[in-house]
Amino acid sequence: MSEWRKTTLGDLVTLQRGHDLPSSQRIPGDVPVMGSGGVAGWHNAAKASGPGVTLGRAANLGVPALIQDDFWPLNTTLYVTDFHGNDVRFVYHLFQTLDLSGYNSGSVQPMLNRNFIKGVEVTVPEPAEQRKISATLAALDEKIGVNDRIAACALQLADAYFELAVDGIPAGPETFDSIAQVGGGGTPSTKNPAFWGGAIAWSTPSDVTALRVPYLFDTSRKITDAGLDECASALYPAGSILMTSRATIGAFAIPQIPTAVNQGFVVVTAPDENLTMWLFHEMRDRVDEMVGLANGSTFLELSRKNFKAMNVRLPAPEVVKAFAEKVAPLHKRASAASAENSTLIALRDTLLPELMSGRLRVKDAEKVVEDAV
Amino acid sequence: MPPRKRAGGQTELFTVSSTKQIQDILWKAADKLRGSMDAAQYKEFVLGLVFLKYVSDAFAERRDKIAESLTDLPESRRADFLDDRDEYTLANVFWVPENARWDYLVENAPQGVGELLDEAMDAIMRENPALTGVLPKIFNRDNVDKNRLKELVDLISDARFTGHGDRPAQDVLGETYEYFLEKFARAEGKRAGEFYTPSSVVRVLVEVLEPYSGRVYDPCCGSGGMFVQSQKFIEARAGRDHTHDIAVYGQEQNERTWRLAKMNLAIHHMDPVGIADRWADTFSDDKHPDMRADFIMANPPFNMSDWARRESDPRWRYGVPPQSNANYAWLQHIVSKLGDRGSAGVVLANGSMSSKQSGEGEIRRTMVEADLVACMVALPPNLFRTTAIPACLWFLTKDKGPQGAKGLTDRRGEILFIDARALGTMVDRTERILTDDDIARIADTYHAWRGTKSAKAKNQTYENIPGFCHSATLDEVATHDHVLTPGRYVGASAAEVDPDAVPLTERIEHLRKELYANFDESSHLEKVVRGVLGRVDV
Repeated sequence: MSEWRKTTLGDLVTLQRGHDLPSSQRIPGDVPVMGSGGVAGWHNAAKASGPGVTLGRAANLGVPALIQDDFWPLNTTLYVTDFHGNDVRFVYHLFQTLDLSGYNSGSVQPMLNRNFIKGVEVTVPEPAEQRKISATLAALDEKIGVNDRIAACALQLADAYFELAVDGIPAGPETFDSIAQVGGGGTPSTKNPAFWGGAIAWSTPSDVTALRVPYLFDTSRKITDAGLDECASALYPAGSILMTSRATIGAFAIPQIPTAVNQGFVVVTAPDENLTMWLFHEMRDRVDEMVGLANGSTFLELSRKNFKAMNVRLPAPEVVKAFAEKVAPLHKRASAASAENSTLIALRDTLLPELMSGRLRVKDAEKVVEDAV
Repeated sequence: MPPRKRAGGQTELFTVSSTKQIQDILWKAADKLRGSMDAAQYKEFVLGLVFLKYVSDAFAERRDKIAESLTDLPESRRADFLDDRDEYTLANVFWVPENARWDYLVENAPQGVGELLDEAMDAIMRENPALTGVLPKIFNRDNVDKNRLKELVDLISDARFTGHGDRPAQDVLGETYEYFLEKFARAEGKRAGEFYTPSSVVRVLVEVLEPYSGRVYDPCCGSGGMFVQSQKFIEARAGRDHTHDIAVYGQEQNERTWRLAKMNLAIHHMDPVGIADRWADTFSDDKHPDMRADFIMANPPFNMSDWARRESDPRWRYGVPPQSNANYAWLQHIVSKLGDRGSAGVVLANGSMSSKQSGEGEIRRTMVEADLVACMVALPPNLFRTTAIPACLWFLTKDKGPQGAKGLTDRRGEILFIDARALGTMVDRTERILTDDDIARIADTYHAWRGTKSAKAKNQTYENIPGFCHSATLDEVATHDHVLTPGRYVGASAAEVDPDAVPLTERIEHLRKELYANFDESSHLEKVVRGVLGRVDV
């Protein structure tokens, strides 16, 4: 197995400062304009060919981005103009593992100067070995990507089936309040440590707005039994519908575990799974209307009272059942893809620093075959 | 040999042609002066200079006209007329004494430009009582860079304010003044709210109210943007000759902003006397106690909690507004100043439409039942650079009847709700403007509903449009607890049928194929992942 050698960033790759391109001078096109925070806009001409790597220079100091296509690096970034035969993706991951924020050379504005980081020491393997490492990480990233697409696509398909099913059905006399339980939540006193850090999931709107697909597997904060007793939230069963009702109105999640919520939610619990499926899509379809019903001077808030009184489009039970049977597998597949991604992401984040430091090595393909034999 | 470079942008000024370009160059030059001065003082400084150039140009232009008409007179008598102040004041031109004339200032600038400017300001104020206490005398101070100041004076002298089509120099200076006000509002960000309302918001008020003639009043007038827009409206619709069909009245409590407003009015040929002789708080020191206005336009500070409240104030006819929020104090102040057939437009924070705290819900109910609310408009977000709070417009009137000869549509017992939140165009990441079409859509809707002359001229009739506008009866408003949020009444917009949209069944077919393709790729990648993970040597 090849040896790892010590070198400096300046010898490994050539970095250059990006180029100015004010938004007023951008011409619509399909070339990504890369800023320090990633894609900052689009233009019709490129300054660098892909695949390439940019580093945040004026913000997100040293945070890398990997771009497959030709691109325009803004002068808030540094970008690699010559990889000297090193693997592009490996270089990207290498920058991920380096913390360059300490090389701030700006006095007021943070600023990364390429001359300051030229001498940073790194240990890297030969390009062939680099490619094995980056192929491993790429496989995980691609699987994560396709899982995201599966979840999004399945959900869109379910939305489209709903559009088909609801067509021509007028809002009836039933309201959300008359056919389901409509609840809200609360926050246990944050001053009392006895309420916090328990085993009970407790969701805030930011848990939900951060989701790419509406299935909640975990919450960032947890409360104790005492905390649940003290706060205004019930413990809602898995499969309830959580909808944010203030600031952002109409971000959704179906929790996969029993969850309590804070005061930023309207929670709908339907008597059976079929109706849950129907109401979930009915609510998603009517977010605009809910925003119209919202009040508030500093931020909009949909009151539970206004929500409860909304008339629901509700077909005969058989239609609801047929719809649910059609979309439930799509939801299950989407949530499974999303769950699988949690594992894949954890695996990638564990492997990344180990592989990039050489503490874990990737065996040759032939060797695997031997092992298998 | 290359041409010798002139100082600070002058070369540019000789070559540019558009007003906008001149303004941009002036702005950049003026910006160099910033630094040691605080933003509010700097603003007064630059706008004061532009104003001085304006009065001087207007004076010179008038002087030339008088001279032209005197060609028959013997030389010895001409001077009497040229120096007769009445000849100037009759034409709404300020008398500018010799030591305040621009030519004099430029000629003598080397001897100390700061001192000269302060003296010029003083001299103009002494000669023109309407400007007493208005002009800034801040040029001869330690914190002013004399060289930069001289450069700025030179630039303003050189800028070709004349010769832009058929517009007199003073119009161009008026526009420059406004342009600078807006630029200052942007530069100052949050604190600018007190003197500047975005022009597209002012235009909605003006286009809806159509202030053709009569008294126009703004109880918190800032730098006077409402008046300038009203005048522009009249010029555009009725022509320049009708400019003086309106008389404007305002009040402003910030001293510096009060000066800006006075100058703004003067530079637009309006009588600055309409703005009270001193800055003052509208609640504790009402400068227009007997006002019966035909039109009122206002953008009061949003949700102001620090205000002079007196429980026994006779203006609180519909209930005493809470100390915690002046929104309903402004609304009632405005109603109290409204003539019997007057109408008002007020910009307020969204909370005013639905708040129930501290008795505000009761005041709103009483006002609605008194049939004072004509129209509510919900505005899109980000129109105000100064605040992220969403805003709305209240249109109030005392008479929703046909108003005799005007033959308006009888709208007693009805309120028009317009949900304009979907309108507007983002001009950058944080700022949205309403386009001409957006403004026309709102104004036309109101005019059609009210059956005004302009709607009749355009042959427009009113119709409820789901998702956009709805005319509600007071009973209907009562069922909503007198909450006036337009979204409640206009309902959801009818699903837009896009003729190019892919039919639903085709879309489903497409999604299904995409999903299956993703499944295939997923199982392939699953094998790849198993492969690569198998090779990691743990």
